[in-house]
Amino acid sequence: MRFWIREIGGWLLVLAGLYFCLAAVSMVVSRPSFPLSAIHLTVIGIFVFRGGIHLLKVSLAARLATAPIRQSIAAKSSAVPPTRPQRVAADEW
Amino acid sequence: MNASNSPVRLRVWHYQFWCGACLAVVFVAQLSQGIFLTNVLVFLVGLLGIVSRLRWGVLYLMVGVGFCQSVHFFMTERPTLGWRAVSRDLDLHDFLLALGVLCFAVGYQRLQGMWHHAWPSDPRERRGKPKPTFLWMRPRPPVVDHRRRDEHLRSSEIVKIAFFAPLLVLAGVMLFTFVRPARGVDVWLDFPGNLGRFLPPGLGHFVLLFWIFLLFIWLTRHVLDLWRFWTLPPTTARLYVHDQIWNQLRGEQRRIARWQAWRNLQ
Repeated sequence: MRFWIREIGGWLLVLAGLYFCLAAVSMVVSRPSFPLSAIHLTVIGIFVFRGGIHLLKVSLAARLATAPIRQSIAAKSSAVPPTRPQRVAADEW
Repeated sequence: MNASNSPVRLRVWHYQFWCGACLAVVFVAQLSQGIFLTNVLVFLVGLLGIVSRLRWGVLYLMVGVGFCQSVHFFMTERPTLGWRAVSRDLDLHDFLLALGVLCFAVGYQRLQGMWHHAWPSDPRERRGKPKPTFLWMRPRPPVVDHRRRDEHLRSSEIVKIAFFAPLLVLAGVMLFTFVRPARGVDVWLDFPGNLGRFLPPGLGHFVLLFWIFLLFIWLTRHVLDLWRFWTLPPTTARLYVHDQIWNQLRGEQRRIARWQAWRNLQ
């Protein structure tokens, strides 16, 4: 669960960064007389996108690193529990 | 590199023919603009690159095309457009010219892989008879070049290039047209001072294109980097996480270790 929260946050940041970059491009295209105004939006978009990608990479790497451990735990828990040795009935003696 | 199982086998001459066809497209595109003498020169340079295994053939062709277009622009188009005019609309010959140069570069890159080497040579890997050197100083065996052989060529390569290259060029032409400022718009209004008055408006268009191109490359690079992470083995992923922990907590760890050292001294 802790990985998924980071992944969702990372994807949201990536989308926000892409939105800022697209907004900068559309601003430059619609108002070509003011190209320097779009620099602020671009810088914001680059930082937000970079942060989102970093969050995604870390959560993905952590999920991949712990996958064998989680698989072994799941395999242990799903294994057939050891049965108790049956008592020898008294009449077998 | 896996060998191709396709019954149609590609050979080197297929790519030479491909580059020759692209050269013909470049020649026709420039001829339709009225360029002849320099166009013939460019064609001959490209042909020399195809038949003589030149390593810098693409560069020579691009310099030649650039020279042709510059001469044509300054001698023919500039007087009709006028000073500080926005660039003209792109035409079919521009599309054909870009397509020819792009496909030539792709085919020539394949030819280079088969003629010389597919990857940069490793100077430590040497084999064979030592080559004679100047004054017989330190004769060493030649560096081994790993060439790409014919059987490694897949026949679907050329078909894919033939489909994707026009789409890429079309996307480039559309981007060029889409971001071009309207005629009469002063592109450098928000530059500090009066600097914008001395800059040509056409330059603003190319700065804009270059900026969008850089931004797109940067975004694509990070998306591909993230894609690579999906296939990381667990050991590498663990190493990356440890590296991130060290990178982000080393300040705190150093501070804690310093306090512990100070306590041990007391």
